Amino acid sequence: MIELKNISYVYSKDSPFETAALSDVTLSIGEGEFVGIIGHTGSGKSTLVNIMGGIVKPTGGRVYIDGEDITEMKSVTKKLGGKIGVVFQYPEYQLFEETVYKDIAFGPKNLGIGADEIDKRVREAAKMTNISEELFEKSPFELSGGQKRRVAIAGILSMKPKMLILDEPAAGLDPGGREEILGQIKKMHSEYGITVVLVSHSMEDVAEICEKVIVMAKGKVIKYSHMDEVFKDSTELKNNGLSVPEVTEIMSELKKAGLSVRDDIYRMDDAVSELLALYGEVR
Amino acid sequence: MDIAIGQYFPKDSVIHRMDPRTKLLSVIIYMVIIFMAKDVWSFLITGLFTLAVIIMSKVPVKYYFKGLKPILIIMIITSLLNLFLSQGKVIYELPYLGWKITDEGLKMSVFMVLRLSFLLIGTSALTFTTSPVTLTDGLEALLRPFSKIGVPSHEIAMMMTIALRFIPTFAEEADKIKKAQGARGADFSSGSLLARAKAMIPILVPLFVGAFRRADELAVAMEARCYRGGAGRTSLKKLKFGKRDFLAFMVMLLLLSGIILIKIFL
Repeated sequence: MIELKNISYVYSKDSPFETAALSDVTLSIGEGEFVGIIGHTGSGKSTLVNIMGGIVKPTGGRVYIDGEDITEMKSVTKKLGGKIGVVFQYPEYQLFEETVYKDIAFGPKNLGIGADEIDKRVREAAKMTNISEELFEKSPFELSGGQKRRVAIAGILSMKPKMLILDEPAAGLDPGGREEILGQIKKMHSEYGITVVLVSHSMEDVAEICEKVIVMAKGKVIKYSHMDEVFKDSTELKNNGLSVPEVTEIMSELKKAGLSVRDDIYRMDDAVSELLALYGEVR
Repeated sequence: MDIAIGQYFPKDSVIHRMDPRTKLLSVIIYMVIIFMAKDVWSFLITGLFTLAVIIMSKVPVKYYFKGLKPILIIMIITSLLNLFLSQGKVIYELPYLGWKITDEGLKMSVFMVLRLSFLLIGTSALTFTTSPVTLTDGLEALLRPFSKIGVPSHEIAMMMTIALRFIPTFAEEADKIKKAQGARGADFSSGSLLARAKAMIPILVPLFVGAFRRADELAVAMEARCYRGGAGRTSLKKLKFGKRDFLAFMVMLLLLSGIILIKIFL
């Protein structure tokens, strides 16, 4: 469980470039939830997740992980034994080891885990991210972009986090790679029960896989609710430069055009079955 | 990451508006003056001049002092060495140790500290008030006469622009990588010196890989825009000397001759 109390954050304090990134954010994410964070560039979503993961210290407020105050804690990952894992934007740029295996093993090694257990974890993390064991002895720099990204994510999963925070995990990937990564994240949540916090600027991605969503704008949380609720009132989203998913847009346009379809649909599959049902009726 | 030196402070002041060539040449003259000054009067005059520049630049004084921080240790060591190791009349002797402070030593160490601080403040005044692009434009213009004897003035200026341009990028990237490895449990601040040096590898490898990637991308981007080096290139902003540049040169020459006169007659 992640709890934030009155979090604020100011960049470059006491310099001519001082800017407030977050102001008075209070929220909590429960065990086993799958929460998306959405917002425009500069809305503070990356800063927010860095604070959740204990990577960045807030300039005000307190952070609790499972009730433990981590606000002042140094090297949070190590102290909490990898309980919380953070996957940064473009995580492939953090790869550095000679082989894929060693890179995935870097995290658990830092946590002081025994060699046998590390080996087990590396294989498990590789399986979760669909990296075949043939790649283990290759240099991570020889892999394709999508493979690099998956190795980097495996490097976090090998620490066996109970909570996983991912910042734009699908950014810069082709549609195939996107779908693969997002599908795997969904599986991590459903099969392994990991609490997932997913940051994205794509409403479609968040709508497709998350259960709840936090909408951020100008350093504040303007909405935090279940998926079904979020798109009911699209004006507030639109005022903040965000939109409803394309599917929702299409469905509401169809309804306006006089077809009897639901307009509160936000997932592709639901839209398809709704339209197929309609097609069946017409025929 | 905190880098006070070399940072540009966008403000609107007389010094900001000066031609970069004027500022570059003035800094060179200023350095000559600092190293010529060897007595109280010269230091007083240079000090007043430095203060005037700081005030005119409209950059908060604390940023000038922030720039002094990295050389604090060098300043302390040189002033201590000067203080105790100079010949002259003994004015104080440390009890037990028998180290002697001489009048000459005291003077030397104070002057050394002033000299180093002036040097840094002067160069900071240049970088605080001149954007990197303008600065390299000025440098290129000053180096241009030397291109006749084979100095690649444009290329030097371009390399400088690129280097300056990427300092904040790499600082940011290093910070990001450090955070990312920290999130993988890497520890940079504990253990022996060797362990800490080893802990830098997870930061340095990705940083270097990134540097090469960026260099490659930049080269392609420049070629895509038909960059072929300096020949026949014009710049968007033409440098122009104005009245204030003339005035600035007058002040610098006055200061220089003043210091020379003091040197001769005092």
